[in-house]
Amino acid sequence: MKRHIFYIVLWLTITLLTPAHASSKVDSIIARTNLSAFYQGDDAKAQARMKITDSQGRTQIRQFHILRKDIVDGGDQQFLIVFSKPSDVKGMIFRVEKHVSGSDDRWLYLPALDLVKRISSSDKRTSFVGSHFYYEDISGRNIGLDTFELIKTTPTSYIIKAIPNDASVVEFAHYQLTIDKTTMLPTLIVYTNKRGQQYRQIKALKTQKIDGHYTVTSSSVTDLIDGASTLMQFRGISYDNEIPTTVFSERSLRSPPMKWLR
Amino acid sequence: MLATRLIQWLFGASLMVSALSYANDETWANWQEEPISPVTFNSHFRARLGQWLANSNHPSSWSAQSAMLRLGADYHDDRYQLDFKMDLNYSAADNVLSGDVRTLALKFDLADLGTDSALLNSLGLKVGRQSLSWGVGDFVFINDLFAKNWQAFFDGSDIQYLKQPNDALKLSYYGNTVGLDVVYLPQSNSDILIVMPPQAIRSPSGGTTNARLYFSDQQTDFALYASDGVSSSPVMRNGQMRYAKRRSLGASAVMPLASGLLKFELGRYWDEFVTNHSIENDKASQRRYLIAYEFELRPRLTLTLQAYQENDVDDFAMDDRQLVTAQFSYLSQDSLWNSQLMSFYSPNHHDNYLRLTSTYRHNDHLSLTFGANTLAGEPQSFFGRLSTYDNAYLRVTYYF
Repeated sequence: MKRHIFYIVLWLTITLLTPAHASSKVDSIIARTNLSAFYQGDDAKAQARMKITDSQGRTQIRQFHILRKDIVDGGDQQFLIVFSKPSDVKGMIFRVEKHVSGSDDRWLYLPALDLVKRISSSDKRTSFVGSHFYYEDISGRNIGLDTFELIKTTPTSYIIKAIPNDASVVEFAHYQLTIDKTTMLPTLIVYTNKRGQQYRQIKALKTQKIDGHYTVTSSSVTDLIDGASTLMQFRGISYDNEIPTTVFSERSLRSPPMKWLR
Repeated sequence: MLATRLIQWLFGASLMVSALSYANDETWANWQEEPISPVTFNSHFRARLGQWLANSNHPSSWSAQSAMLRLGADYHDDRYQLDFKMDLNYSAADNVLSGDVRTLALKFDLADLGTDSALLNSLGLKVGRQSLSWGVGDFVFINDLFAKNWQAFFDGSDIQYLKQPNDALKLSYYGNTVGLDVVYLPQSNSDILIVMPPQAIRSPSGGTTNARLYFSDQQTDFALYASDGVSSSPVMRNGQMRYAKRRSLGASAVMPLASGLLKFELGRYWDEFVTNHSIENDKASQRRYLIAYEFELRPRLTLTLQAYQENDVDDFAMDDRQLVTAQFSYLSQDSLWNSQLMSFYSPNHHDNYLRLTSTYRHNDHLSLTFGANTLAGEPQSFFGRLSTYDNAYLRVTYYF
């Protein structure tokens, strides 16, 4: 009898705990990937440039410095983006206080008017400075907004499907991540729209180990329907620079912090 | 006629140079570290053609026929930055070539000096000709008392020309929780009005000091303002157009609300008109209030609503002005089209103004802007008096 009770308890334990265990495994992978992709070090600085190619092959460029400081790992962050090219956006500075659990606070400095303008930011899935990247691709999507499912594990990667918890506020039905097991960075993200069509893909093109952190130094986003794309490259990346939090303030909008932009 | 041809030729040349620029695409295979030059140049060419829309006695049917070359350079050093911007303007209407230094300013961030003084590390200084702006309203100014060029606002010029350059000294204190800007203009600056009064009495003359104290708390940006100087526009007093000696105090706040931004601004002016040393000065006072809400109606389509009220302590013919504005801003999905439609309407003065601006960014070098301004209202109202200034324009800018 005791043996029967033992088997029943064992069976119940396995039955009840298995889904939770699977769920916690995928959530743990996603949490680690989120930290590896968007929270390396306590702060970071880099130069970035983007080549934006439209469906007719016409190109534009954007070049900027980006500074980032984490308030909490996996949580709120501060960003400062200082544009240097092209001419019509040179000197524009963008400051973001990213809030994981709500709308970000954003300010834009317009040098021609010497004006700091607070801008509304309810939609994080809009183009980042005219590129095919969204704000959310740059600063990271809140992992609490999606439900994740581990589809497959290969010797080198995890294949994970993400479904939005509220499909009415996003343009995709789901997306699929390929996460490299060594770097814990997404190497490919493919978005499927509500008609079941794959329409957007983000690809890591080059990954380097910098200051002990695996870092994507070149990536691209492609519109799979019309062929338009944006190539993004980074250089001069460094982590844990001890950038003071005061750098992420109105002072830096009106007077770019040159020390941190080299 | 020659001038019109010249501008047309410049339009064509801009388009051609823009097309050729594709040939010089940078190498994207590998992005190497390279030394950053302390000097950068930033220039553009701009041509503007505008047409009057209203029947009136303008000397020409063109409201604008001009070409402009902007020459810009800045130098960045560890200790200071030098910023220079100059415009060479050619007006075909009166065949006049002129130069205008828009910016020539030296900026020191004293933290970059590397001293141990906490106070010095918290200070910044900007000296010279510079653009100055603050306040939270969209084209409604309460505490931004810096001089405006209202002709440029209505004639299809780029919006940066609404702000006049100021010869000023700006001292900034950047504390951990509070910031302070103090701006001193040794000689007060005046607005450029659409219809310049023939003989406005500029007394008193002298300098103006403007200050702004600002801080943030709980995602809300607060600011307090004060000024002491001379008003930038004259008003009719006792049959004469006069500039006032003006003191002002004000405040503003911007905070997120629902999915948008809620903004408040208020200010009070105390004006004094120096009449004669033997007679007590003529005084006036005014309060101004603004409430605004900005939110996304749809992705990339933003609506900003503003309600503005003036309260005049004295009785003027056109006082206690009320104004409501609605601005739709739309950015296309590819971010190439950027359009604004803004309407101003005064419920008590019964005048209105519709302002349309639409810019197409063809590439990193070339942008085209189309716009129109229409003004209407009772003959004595602010916009009503400008109803013959309705215009539409095309502006092309080539950046190099």
